Amino acid sequence: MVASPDIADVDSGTRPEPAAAQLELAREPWSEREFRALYDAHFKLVWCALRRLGVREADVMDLTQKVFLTAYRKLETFEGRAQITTWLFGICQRLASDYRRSAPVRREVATDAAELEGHTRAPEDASVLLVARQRAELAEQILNKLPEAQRSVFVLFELEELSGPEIAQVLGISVGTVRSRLRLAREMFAREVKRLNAQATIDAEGT
Amino acid sequence: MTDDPERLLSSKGAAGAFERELLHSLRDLTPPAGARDEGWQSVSRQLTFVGAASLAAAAATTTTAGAGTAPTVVTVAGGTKAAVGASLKLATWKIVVGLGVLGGSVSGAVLTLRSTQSAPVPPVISDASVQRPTAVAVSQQLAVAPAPSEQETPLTKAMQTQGQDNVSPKRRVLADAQRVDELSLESELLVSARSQLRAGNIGQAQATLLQLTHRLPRGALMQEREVLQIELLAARGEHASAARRARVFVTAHPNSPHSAKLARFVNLP
Repeated sequence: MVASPDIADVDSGTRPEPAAAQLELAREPWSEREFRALYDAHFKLVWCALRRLGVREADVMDLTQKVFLTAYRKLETFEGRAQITTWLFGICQRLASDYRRSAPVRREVATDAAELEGHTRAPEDASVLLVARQRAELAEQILNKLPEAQRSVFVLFELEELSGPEIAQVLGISVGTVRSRLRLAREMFAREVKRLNAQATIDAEGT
Repeated sequence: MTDDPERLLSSKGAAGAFERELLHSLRDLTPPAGARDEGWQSVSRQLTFVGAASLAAAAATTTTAGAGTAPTVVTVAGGTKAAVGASLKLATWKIVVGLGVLGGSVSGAVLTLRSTQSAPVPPVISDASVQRPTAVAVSQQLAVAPAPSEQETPLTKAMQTQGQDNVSPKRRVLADAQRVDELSLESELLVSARSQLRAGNIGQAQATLLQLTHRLPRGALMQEREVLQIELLAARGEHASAARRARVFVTAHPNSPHSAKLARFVNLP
């Protein structure tokens, strides 16, 4: 299975082609009001997915809008063979991937984990705030170290809670490849966590 | 899928405590307040252009395809004259194709202009003029709606007939969207009520819980609602009521993770 740049291909797979009647149903036009319902229900999902896939705070709203505009253009081709969330993840993944490829300089810029942290659940006091900031910063740094292919699988599985086959569908790869990338990503994530933990211990002993 | 490994954040996941903390910090992300509505304003404006561009593109494709038939005719006509050289035919074809493409482009450009001016594009909906299908609106509608058998909306029909092949993907997506919206509202109000209770604002917490019951009499988090209600009763000093409801809950849901938590209320004096 090969990943296709066509968003509509997110909805394809190995299943048989739908009947003509099914395609007719799929082409039912969407009113703006109906689309607003879809947008409202899935805005948070798209916003969070983009952030976890490495889109910076400063750019995430633009990318979120782009995801929904792409979805609007392609909705008439959505045949309902996948979950709408899986289909949206596919768009998010592709746009985030393009974003990371086209913005290597921005990727090098120090992580905006402080901004990221600012939108996690409101901490109750200053010490919690500090710890939350540090955690978010570290997590973002580690994710940034993962190769893009591994990061996508890791985020989609561990944080977005997609299943192996769903991730395979989104990324246009086999389930075996999903598992292998997940294993590598987990190993790297755990290794980095261990390294940071050891470093923190050394720093604490030094002070 | 059952073959998937355990997620790191699941209760059986292999992640260490620090790894979990890091992952939680990513999982607990949430957009800033107001971002959704702010984003919609921009999306809504752009939808007009997307609609217009799609129509223009479709029209331009049709026009170009129409222009493309011209060289075919010429070539066929030329083909009947065997004396005409192949190079001449090719040159003629190129010229006609060139003119066709040029014509198509011009037509396309004109159509684009016309489409943006007069095509029946999706209307831009202003905040004031249209009632949006927001979570609040949907839930208010649910709260006052008669029994489903008396009033079936297309969405509820779609929800009831889910799984049937003749339900359009759009209907299913919209039904899902409604469910997500309701769950989101339910979760939001529960979190809010719980925070109010933790902060000692018992009256406010009770009001929020009542608001939730009014808006969504049924939901996906009924157990969580009941647990919170029991905590509220205990916080108000109504220990007997809290104990009675806790016993009912534990009996009804012996395997619920909430039952262990409620044990402390069961034997309240």
